[in-house]
Amino acid sequence: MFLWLWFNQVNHLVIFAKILRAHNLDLNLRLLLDVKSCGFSFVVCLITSVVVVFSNYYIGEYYKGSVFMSLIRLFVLSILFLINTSDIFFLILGWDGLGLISFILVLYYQNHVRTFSAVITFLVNRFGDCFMLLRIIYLYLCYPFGYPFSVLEVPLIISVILVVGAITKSALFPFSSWLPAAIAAPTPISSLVHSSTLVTAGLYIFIRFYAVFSLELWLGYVIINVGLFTSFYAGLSALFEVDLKKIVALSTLRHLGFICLAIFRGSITLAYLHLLSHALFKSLLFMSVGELIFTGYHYQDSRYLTRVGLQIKHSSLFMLFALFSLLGFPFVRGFYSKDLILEIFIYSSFSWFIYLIVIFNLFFTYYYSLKIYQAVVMYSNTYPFGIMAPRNMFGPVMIVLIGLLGVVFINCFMWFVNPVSIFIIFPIFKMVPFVVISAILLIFFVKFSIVIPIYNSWCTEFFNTILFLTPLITHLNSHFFLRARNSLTKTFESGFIRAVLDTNLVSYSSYVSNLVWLTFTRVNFNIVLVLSTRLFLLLLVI
Amino acid sequence: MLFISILLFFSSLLFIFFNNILLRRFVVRLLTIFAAYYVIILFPRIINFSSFASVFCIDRMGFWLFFITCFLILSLVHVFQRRVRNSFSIIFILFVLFVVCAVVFFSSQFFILYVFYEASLLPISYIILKWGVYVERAKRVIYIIIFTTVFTFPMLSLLSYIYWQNYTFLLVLPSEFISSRWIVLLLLGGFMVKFPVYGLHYWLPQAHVEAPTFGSIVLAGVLLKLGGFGLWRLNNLILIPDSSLNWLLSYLLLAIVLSSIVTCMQLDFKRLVAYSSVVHITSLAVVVFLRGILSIKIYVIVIIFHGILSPAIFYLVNVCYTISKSRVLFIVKNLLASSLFFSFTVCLLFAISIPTPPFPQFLFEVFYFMSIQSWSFVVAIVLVSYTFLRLIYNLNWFLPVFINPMSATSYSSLKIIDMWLIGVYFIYSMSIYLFLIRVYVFYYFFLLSLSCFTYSIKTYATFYIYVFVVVIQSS
Repeated sequence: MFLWLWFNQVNHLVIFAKILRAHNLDLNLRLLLDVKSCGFSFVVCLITSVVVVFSNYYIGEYYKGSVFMSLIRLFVLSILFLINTSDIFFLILGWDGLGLISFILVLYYQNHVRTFSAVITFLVNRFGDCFMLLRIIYLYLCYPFGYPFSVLEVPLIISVILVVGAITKSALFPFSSWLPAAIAAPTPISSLVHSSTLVTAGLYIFIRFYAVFSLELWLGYVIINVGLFTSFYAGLSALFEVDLKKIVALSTLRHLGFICLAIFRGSITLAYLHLLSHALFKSLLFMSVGELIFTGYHYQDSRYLTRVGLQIKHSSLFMLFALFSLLGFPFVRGFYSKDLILEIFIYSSFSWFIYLIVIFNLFFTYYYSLKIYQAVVMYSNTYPFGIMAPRNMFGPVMIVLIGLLGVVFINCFMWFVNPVSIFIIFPIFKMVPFVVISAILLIFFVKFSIVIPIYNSWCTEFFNTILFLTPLITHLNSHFFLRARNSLTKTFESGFIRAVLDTNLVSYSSYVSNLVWLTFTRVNFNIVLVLSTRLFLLLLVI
Repeated sequence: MLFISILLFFSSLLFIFFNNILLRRFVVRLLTIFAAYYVIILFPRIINFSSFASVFCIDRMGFWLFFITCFLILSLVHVFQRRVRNSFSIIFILFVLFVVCAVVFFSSQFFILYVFYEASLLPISYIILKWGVYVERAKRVIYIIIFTTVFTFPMLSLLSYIYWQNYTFLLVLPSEFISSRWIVLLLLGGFMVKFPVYGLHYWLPQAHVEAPTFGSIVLAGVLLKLGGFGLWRLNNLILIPDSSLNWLLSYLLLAIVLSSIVTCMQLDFKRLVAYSSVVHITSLAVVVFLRGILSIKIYVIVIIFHGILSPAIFYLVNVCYTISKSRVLFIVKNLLASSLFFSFTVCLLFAISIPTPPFPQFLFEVFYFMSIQSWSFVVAIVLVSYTFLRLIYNLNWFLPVFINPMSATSYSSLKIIDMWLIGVYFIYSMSIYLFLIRVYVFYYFFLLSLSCFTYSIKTYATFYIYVFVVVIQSS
């Protein structure tokens, strides 16, 4: 069959299953298999297979290990649903399943902090789910006989709703507070969530429905600005962060903004490629950082983790690979997509301001990558606690697989996706090597002369809470919204209806209830009996 | 007639004066037999209609609600085995409930429906008075009775009006719709108070707080559906004028948001669940008045799923209460440590009640929103806030039950958890089962009782799966 498909040059394969039919509402399972969905699900399955081995290593002997594994399976199943379907209902099946299962996974350690971050994650994701629900409903109202996949001219409201939903899922500007909070999950889950599953869902939706968005030019400009702003402040916040996992999470956020920018620039294939390569190197980075954290007794603060990397050598080596790939260092995986995207930015008709901010973002990337590496390896003071002995070596060894794939071998995947033109030979310089050299010079200059992060200042507070977005959700809720709810409850629930009905009713019912209470206690019941028999006798006598 | 009433009178006298348990049982059985005789045989004769079908008829909603009633009462007897074995009166009161509900669900006449609808107040108040634990229950019962009857008594006077309008009490296929505004409003109020729609719901949390567990399970699972069934039947009789309909729907849509905000404020577990069922029911009441094909179907299905889900959560409240001896959500904690399967079921209940996709509840939630969206586009705001607030108040009970590793106390009450497992397993498996088999059952049921219905068979869902592959050649 595959040979047949190959020889006939089949681009798309649609598997169609009719499940339920209720008058004109059809519930169909439509699986759309093409290059994009198959490639993405390949990467997801690859990362998942390594993450499963890694999580055996990470929480193998923990008492809920089997539950953890089954939750991972469900999680990956829902992202596969989301990737491979073209039917709106199964899209939301994956979409909602991701939110719910990530909520339970973030809650896995079950303490106050985890609960806080799990609730933030779930609330924001649920907000996006509401919009996806709205999208289904509007699609039904516009196309009551089923939404044809190829139709482009959908009403504006539907594409706006889809954009809001996708923005919440991939943590772009107003909704990005949940992404750094979600690092409270166990590290294998973080490496799944941040690389290929949860955050890429929104970007995948952007890529899939790009034809719909491309009709609305202003919508594209809005999303470009949102992505630019997100990547800018994520990179800036990473400078002020000391939590190792949080720095990596913020770098994810930065890349999400970057990919979003590339999508709405119009270079979808490159953006898709960068999405895949980002998934690979980010999962590698998370797993190697996770192993370091695991070995250092679960301390995530980079100031505690000094020189752990020197004692776990393979892990720090793969972390270096991942960081190179993240930077777009020449001739590793990240280079081929990131550099091309940057060069296409130059050719495109963006304003110089956008381009300037993108270059600034690259500097930020260099800075925090160096920060991660020096935190683990380079500081002079020694790690005070000693290290935990690794449980088995199979988990770390499996990282090698994804490391090799992520760094070197998957370059051939580019040919598979986009066989025509890979390299743009820019006349004067390749973009990334230029930035590499200048950034390294700059950072060394800055690092060894002035210490930039000033801890315990309003500035640190501002960037640690990513532009006060986290307190915007939590504190606003607890102060204003709670007060509003309280007043609403007072006016409506115990308000005027109660005032009319209850004051009379309660007094009356307390009066009657005394009588009822008398009759229903056993002693008084006898008294009533006696009284009634006497009454009966009296009547007889009369 | 006279003979039977004299017999009833003397038997009740016997019942009062001779406090012998055997005699009491005998009398109770006698009474039930006569009650059944009275209901089944004599009522048609008294009303003097020619055929049986004009008094009782079965439609899909009545059938499914009857099915739910049977299922709930059987599962109650199963779950509360020990308690039921010790007292005959629980069985008796459940039987009375069963009869009352069955008659309401199968009635096609307004008169019978009204009488038994009112009679449903007696068993639940008896349950609260007999098996409730708090001292205030007598007061609360009086409150409940007065609150509901204030709204339902106007219907008694409207009975004659309806009769002289159509010269029949039949609710199916009236000759003329009632469209007078105030009469329609009174009729609606009578059924909405026991549904209960937000604004007329004040009796419900009190009833749930005072009632024992099986009482609130029955109340949430079956007795609330009587009002819903009343609205469903009334929908054939009345035609709400458009201006009033718009006011009514806007009130209901506002009430959905308001009631979900109020639900977020609750700290008592049982009150929270009671209020959440108020929210759900207020949202259901919107659908009845829209009169679309889709909305009417959705009304039936969602009301059934509510009848399955909310008893399960009430049982969860009971489990939490028996373990932690409190219903306050700050104190109900750390139940996850007790059993893995328990935590799994709690997650499942949470996921169903939000609701999330793999469960049928979500599918019908989507259809529900589709049907109300056709009324106005403003509904989108209500939709988003309702879905979001629903998550918040479900989190309010889920998080305290699910987490808190601080204190690992040991429980001696593992048997209770076993019972819980049985209850929830039965209830939930039935919900999946219903989703899977309903179409077949509907199909045969429709064929069998074709003459009773005004609905067509063809339009209902047909369940079939087939797979084929479409290959699109690239150009």
